[in-house]
Amino acid sequence: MRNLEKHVLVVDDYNTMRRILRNLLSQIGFSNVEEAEDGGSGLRKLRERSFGLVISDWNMAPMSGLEFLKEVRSDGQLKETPFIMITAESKTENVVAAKAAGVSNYIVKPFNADTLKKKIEAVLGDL
Amino acid sequence: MPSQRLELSEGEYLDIEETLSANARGRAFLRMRDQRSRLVGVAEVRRLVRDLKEMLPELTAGKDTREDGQVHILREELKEMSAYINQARREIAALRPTDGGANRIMAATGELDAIVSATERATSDILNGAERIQELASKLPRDGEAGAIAEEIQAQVTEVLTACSFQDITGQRTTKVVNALRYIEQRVNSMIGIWGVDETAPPLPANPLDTRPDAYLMNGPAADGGPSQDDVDALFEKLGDPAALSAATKPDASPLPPAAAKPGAPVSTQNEIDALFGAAQ
Repeated sequence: MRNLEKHVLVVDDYNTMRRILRNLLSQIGFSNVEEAEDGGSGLRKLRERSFGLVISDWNMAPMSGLEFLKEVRSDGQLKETPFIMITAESKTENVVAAKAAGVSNYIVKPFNADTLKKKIEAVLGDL
Repeated sequence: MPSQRLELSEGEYLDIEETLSANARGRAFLRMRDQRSRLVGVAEVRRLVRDLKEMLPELTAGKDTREDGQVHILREELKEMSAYINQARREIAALRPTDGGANRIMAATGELDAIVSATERATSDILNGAERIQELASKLPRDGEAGAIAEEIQAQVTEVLTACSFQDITGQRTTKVVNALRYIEQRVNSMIGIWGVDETAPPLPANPLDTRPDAYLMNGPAADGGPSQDDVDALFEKLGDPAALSAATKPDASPLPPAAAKPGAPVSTQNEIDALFGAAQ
């Protein structure tokens, strides 16, 4: 399967951010994009079908992005799923905690389309 | 003219004493002199003790006076403190008028919530417009001058879209302020309840704090001058080394640059973080 054909799951509690990400992913060439509002619903979607990439916010409730990432990495069926954290949390301890939990890459908000594309390529390879 | 009293030197005194000690009558004189001197000394000590006894009631009475003064000062200080606490109680009570709608803290919280809602609506409108422009631009011919213009329109629309992510950032910042105001409101209500200013004060929630396991890591957007994507990339690159990551997760050690090693400190550069993911960046 070509990378652009992979299903992408966007997880963010802000509708605006989900909409922006969906649009940017569409511009990059991803046509299979689904959305979830927090880690819990994201986890349910991941267990319903196969996704080739997860792009998740951190600060969500009730399940945060970090907890969501840990759940994904501890699930035998999901643990290899590429996972990009996209968040306004940019302090040292945040990056260290996300890396320790197994995040594939880390994007700081506010971001631009070029950064998003580069990080996706860094995780999936050429698009 | 007054006669000057004769003083003996130490040598003259010892010579006379030796002369007197040379015979029995002289030695008897010296013994009697010593005995009389002791008696005078004892009488002097007794006189001093008697004088002290006589002075004691007077001295004790003085101490009582001083203690009374100290107690008076303490009493005055306590009265001042009491007045100050009462004033604080009145001021705290004034923060929560009887009309709930007029509560200044609640009003401020409501205003901030309204700002978040308004910016969310405005952002949604901007996104609608941007997406409509995208749609129209996609109908332009893909070649020639029109194609170049369509491409430029798409690029500018993308800029508009990403700029709209401000709503997420400002929303998170505002939420932090709202939470701080709510916390203050809860504390004020708690103080009012404790002091009995208002018996109708609602009880505090069992646990008003964020209970998510990683709540301590969620600080929201950094202030101006905070870490950039380059800073985060640089840190991420450093953490690509398993040993560095292991060391960074220990509470007492960090492989990070000194400026970034402290919790909460901005991270290093984006390039350093990119290296965490190897050459694939």
